[in-house]
Amino acid sequence: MNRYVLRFCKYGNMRFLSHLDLGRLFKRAVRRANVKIAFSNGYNPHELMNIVQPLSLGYESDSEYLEIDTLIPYDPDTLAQSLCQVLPEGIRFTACREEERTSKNLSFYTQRALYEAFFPLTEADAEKADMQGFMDQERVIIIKRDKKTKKPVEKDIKDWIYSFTIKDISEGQCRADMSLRCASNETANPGKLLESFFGFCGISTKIEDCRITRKDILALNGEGQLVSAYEAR
Amino acid sequence: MRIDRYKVQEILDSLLNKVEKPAAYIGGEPNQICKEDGSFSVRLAFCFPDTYEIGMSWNGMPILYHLVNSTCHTFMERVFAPRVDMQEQMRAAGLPLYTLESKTPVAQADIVGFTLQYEMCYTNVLSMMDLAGIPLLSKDRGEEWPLVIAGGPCAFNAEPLADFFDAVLVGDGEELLPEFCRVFSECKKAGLTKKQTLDKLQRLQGVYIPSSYSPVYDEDGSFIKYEKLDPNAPDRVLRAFLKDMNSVDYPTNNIVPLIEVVHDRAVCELFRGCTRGCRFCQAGMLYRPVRERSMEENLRIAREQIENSGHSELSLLSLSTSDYTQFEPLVEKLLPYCKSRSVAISLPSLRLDNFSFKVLDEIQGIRKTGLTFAPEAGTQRLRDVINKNITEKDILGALDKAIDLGWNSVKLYFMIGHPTETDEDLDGIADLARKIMDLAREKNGGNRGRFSVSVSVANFVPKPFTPFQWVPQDSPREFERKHMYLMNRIRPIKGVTLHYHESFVSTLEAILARGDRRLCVAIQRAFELGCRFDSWTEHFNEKAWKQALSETGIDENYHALKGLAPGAALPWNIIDSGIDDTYLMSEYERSQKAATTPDCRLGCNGCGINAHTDCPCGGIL
Repeated sequence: MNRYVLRFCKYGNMRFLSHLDLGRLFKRAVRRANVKIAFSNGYNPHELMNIVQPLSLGYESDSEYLEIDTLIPYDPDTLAQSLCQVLPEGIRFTACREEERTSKNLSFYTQRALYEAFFPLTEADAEKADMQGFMDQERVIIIKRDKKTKKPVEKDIKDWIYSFTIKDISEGQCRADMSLRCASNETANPGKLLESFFGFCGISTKIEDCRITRKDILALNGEGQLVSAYEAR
Repeated sequence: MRIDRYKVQEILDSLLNKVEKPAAYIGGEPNQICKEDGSFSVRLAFCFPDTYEIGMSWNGMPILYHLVNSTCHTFMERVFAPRVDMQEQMRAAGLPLYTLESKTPVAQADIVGFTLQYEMCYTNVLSMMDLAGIPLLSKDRGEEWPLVIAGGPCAFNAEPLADFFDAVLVGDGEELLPEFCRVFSECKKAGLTKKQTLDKLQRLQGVYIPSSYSPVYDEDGSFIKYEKLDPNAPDRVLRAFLKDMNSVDYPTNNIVPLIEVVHDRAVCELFRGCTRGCRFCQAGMLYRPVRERSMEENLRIAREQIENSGHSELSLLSLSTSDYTQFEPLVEKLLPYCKSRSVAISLPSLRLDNFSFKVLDEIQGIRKTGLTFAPEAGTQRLRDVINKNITEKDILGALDKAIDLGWNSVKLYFMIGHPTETDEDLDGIADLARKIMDLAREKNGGNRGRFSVSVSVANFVPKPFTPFQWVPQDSPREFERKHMYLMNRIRPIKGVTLHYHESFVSTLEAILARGDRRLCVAIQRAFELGCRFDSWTEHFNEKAWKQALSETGIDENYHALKGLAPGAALPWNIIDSGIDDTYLMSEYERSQKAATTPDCRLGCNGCGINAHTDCPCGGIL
């Protein structure tokens, strides 16, 4: 068996495709492109593929990663091309390389994700924006829904924020850049962070009006350095 | 301001973050067809009046989509009913209903077509027209508005929506809809008015123009007849017939939805129609005669669909799948093919004979899902009344085998409220469930084990063009009494559960199914009172519907409960379904004597369909 890691982007209307739907789309794409994918053993065999770190519904991304195990070797470029042909506009494979098959998949090594967000800000709100004060808080609280009880719970994500900056780019438009924790069980959501920031400062911008893009996911390589997940293994 | 598609996308960008299931509103799925502006002359906005997930599971959509888009004159685009949250966002943002392919506002199409698959979608038709900004009433739409048309099984009695539609297409759509669009494109090219266009379209077999007729009622409100307002209109509109399924270029490049829809699978319709002649079944009457597609075609279509879609499930569809004459060889060829590609086969509407069992055992393997039977009535007498040709011996015999093969759950479907039904027939439902449980216990050494029986009862709704079109329906109270009666008999049996439906929904379904043109105002009023998604339990608003009916003078007792005198004028008889009225009447009379009518493959029963088209399966056995 061979393992390939593919980098893909997700943009335009395809940002409204959920993680589960994306998985289904890739499974069908593999069938349509006639790629000899490997299946798990067991009563209900499933395709051996892994989307590295789910992307929230509504976000675009420049660099997402898909790992697939195949029964026969493929030329990486040909593999990416043949899969691209059966995908809708808005999802495109931009790179593909073979990686060593190990028991752990790439999600295990990821550490951070880089995000960019564009959002409107009124003049009055711009004066309220207090990044220093926000980051100087002892705790940075976000509200998330508990997966089981569905009740809102508070969560301190201060340690998961590696950088968070806001720039005025043109009249009434702002850009935020964020580097946040993105590991198997510890993931900070950039939308929640912005929401928390707007709440702290009393800014009226709504989270639905923020357009968020994941720029890349970073992982540790063999030497313990933080690099793009594509180059990590 | 006229909104163009760029503006539509811009507004969408700003509101899709705020709604549930945003991917239902974006289009752009694999295999979608998007024609360039200028490469066609007619834009058809094809509306399914329910959500994307339901509409995309309907087998007719890919067929019409492919056939219409294969023409050079017409571009058919899809439209579905937005969920309530999306409707609110669209209204707030000033975004009109748009097509998924090109994001064109629906009001800018040349033709807006609705498919009517079930009665409870009628308020959605109005809410979609309203969301599109199109005036609801046909008479209020001048030359600047699209032609609004409808088709589908409920088009056989479209009277309750007659005031809203310019034209109704009745019968098989494979040839009729593309031809309708072709004639329309010629009229458009020639610069004809709407009136002139409808006059030309009216000449096609299967096209009904409601405004060509005006209904006449007597003093006590009974329907008497139609007065013809247009001398060129036919006395009765004969439905369209597709003669041969092998002559149609059926699609194999179906759109693959991006989100999970109700039926996420490749579908192969083995044949159309059914020879069994169950007397309550409207589909069995409307889809006559039986037309089979050849085994080679079915094989090709099934394989190509799987290859082009990447689906991991294939459904072999029809009204009675094991009646397909080539069923065994077809399945024997498909099984190894599907197995090698890890594609599951599903077989709805199967009769459990020996071969079917062998197949089911093979495709379900170790993890067996449930078995389903539809006896429809609890006693042999009542099954003879409805002509449901299945005996208790058949069911128990099949279960005996099923339990040996390892199945441990069974679903039984019944209807209650059939004509002549008594409480004894309800006892029969409980008895059958008990006998199955006893059998399971006996075969398992006196132990029930994990075996379970699920009994589901639906409420009988009399439908036009069936032998039961005249009969009264049980009142909601009587339905509820029967539900309780059954519950009391089934509850003591361990391992058996009972499911039943809301009764007023069934009353309303009967009112809409057999309604005349006076229902138009009632449906419009219900829509104004906020009714929509009436087939969704969480959205159905009984109070608003009752208010709408009473405000518009519709007596629910009169319209649903009262039987119609055999021989009385029927509002839907403006349509000729191809089945003789005398046949329906004789079937009704036979039902009253509990006399059965055999499967028409054993010999022609004289329903009259062969006077209009070939009936290739009549008397073949």
